[in-house]
Amino acid sequence: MAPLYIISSSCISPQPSFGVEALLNEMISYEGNRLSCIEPDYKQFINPVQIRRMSRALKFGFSAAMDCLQKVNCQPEAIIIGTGTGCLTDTEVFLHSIKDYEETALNATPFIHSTYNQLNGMIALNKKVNSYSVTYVHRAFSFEHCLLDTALLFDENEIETSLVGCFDEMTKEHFDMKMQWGFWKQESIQSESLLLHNSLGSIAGEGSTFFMLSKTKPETECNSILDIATLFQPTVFDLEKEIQYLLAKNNLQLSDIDILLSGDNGDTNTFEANDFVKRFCASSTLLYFKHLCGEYDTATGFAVHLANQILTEQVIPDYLYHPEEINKRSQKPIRHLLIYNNYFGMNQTLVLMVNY
Amino acid sequence: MPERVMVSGLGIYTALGKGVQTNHQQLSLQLHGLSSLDMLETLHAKSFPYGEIKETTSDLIQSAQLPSQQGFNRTSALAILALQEAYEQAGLLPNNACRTALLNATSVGGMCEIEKHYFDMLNNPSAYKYLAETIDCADSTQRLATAFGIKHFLTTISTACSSSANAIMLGARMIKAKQADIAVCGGTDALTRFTINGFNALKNIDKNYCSPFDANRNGLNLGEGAAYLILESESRCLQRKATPLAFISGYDNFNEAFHPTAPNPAGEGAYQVMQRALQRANLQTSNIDYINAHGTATLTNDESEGNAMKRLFHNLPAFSSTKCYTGHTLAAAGAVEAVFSINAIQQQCVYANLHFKEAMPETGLIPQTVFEKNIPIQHVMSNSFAFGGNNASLIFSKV
Repeated sequence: MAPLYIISSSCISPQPSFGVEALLNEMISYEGNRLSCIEPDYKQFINPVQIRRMSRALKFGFSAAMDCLQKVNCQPEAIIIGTGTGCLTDTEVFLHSIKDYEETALNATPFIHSTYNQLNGMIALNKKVNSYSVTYVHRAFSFEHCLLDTALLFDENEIETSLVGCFDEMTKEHFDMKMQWGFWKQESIQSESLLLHNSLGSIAGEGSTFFMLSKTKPETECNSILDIATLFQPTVFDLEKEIQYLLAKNNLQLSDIDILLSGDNGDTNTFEANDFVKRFCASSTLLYFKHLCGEYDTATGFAVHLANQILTEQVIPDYLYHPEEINKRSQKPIRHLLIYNNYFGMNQTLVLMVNY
Repeated sequence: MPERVMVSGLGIYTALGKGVQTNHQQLSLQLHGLSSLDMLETLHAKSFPYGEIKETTSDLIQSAQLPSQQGFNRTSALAILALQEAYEQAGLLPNNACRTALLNATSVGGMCEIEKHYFDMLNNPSAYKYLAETIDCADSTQRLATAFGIKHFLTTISTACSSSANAIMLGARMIKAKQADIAVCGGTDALTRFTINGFNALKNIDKNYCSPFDANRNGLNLGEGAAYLILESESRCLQRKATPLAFISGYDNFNEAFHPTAPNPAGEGAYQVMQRALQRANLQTSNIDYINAHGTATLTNDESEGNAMKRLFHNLPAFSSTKCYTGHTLAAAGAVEAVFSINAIQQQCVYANLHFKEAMPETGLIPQTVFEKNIPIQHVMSNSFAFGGNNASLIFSKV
């Protein structure tokens, strides 16, 4: 596939990742298994009338996209967005209003906003972007398929630049239901110690990340996404085959992967696959990210943002290591980085990145 | 020149009935499938006509003959039944060895079942654990993938009313790029209280049978259904001696960026997307023999689409909207109408637009009002326009 050069990146997450270009010196640890976004001052991006009408996910998604576009001096030729649950608050508000008002005299706004492609439309409308526009809504493949679609558009010589992003929010209602369904750890933990809790379930998260991607390599030092793979309920054998294939396609050896950024979410149900990839990539420095952003459908967006910063700065903050492996600090130059994400076993993905 | 992308199988389930033949027969007899609701409970059951499939969800699941019925909802059951037909017609068996990509579309996914239990779920989630996996859009896709043994690639697209047109477009692109040997593309949506109340709040639903392109049109009718297309390269079709039904000659996706829910009345976005699809197909407007229009019968869509067609086509070919037969099946509509467009090529016919009496004063356009057969149909254009200005247009051509 065509490499996707990262021109700009903006990320709203439970960490103070927004409005700063550099890697954070420290992480924020949360208690209670639910990590919520640190929301920016929306007035910078949205007019006051709209702010009142928009739900959280739309606001932080729209702001991340606007910030990402403001950093570059060009219009995107495509808008491709991934979301697992879309504007969950709006969906819930509309469900409640159907019941509360017994199907009469309902306000249509939450219904409109619950439509998954709402953010695509808002960005296009605001920036007057007449372009290819698609919304992928396939759980933990959603963001990855935006990248794959962009690569295909680049290969087809359709476009030169693409605004690619993702957004997902967690609401109290959704969190509580998923708690009962075993998605989250039953014991309340500190997020920084996620990987020390050998129990079922993970911690909930949310966020929005946007990237401006270019087909042409910028003249300055930069990073690119080299390859992506999405695997549906793979066995460890499938995983091994896919990693080998990914490396072979890109003329790389296992030893070329300097960092493995693991999406291990601390759920013991996924131990086998996570452990396999860790052992398979034993020569790589092992880092983690779900203790920073929590688990959600498009958490890989956060991981790519983080990886982009690591590759640029050539620095690894201590909080990215497993708390018990902090003595394995690496000082080596970082060229290739592999993200492995595992969403409760069913959706597993690989994203290969490189620094030039 | 990349190889042509052939359509080798079709499957459909709408209010007109199950199967491509049944749907074509009803269309050719100019019989619509709209009625008040019998299967779904809502205050609005008798207020509007709907394209409802008159089978209970459990009967649908039964007839899909699934190894396990746990957690299956109406959206998934309709999808499985439609895809079974498409596989059969293409002469494909589930679990086939080739690289199969599944590109599915839905607008509300598992909402059909979730909305029935939502408030009980909040109070007692444990009793509804079987619904945990069905709460999003990916569920029906993953169930299809499991039922048909698809592992190579699967995704779900949701761009409101153009969702499955975009799924078909992605399928064609993946076949061209040799990223898949077979692309299974389409969409599924069941009627839900959620969407009925949404469109009702938008004051977009006609109390009577919808009348696309009519001066006195007063909104859409909602429907449900699923439809799938099997796509593959021409060489692969030849190699396995499959009979292609049509090929995809053009497509485009274009955001008009005009208004959150309404199209530009002048039809700028609709004009652009049709023109770009023609360019990609390397065709002139005069090559198009029939347009299966988006034609929702809302005030704004038909004005916008009508203006765009009038501006683009100097001699407008026969056009009609088939939403007056099936209702607007939302994310499935693009695939449902792709099936009808390919049928028009197969049967060399054009379908009639029902309930048309008087031309819109803005355009003066008159749609096809009678079913006509034995007319040469080489190229058919199928439009799908959506909320957010998310427009798509596909062109199917005779092999």
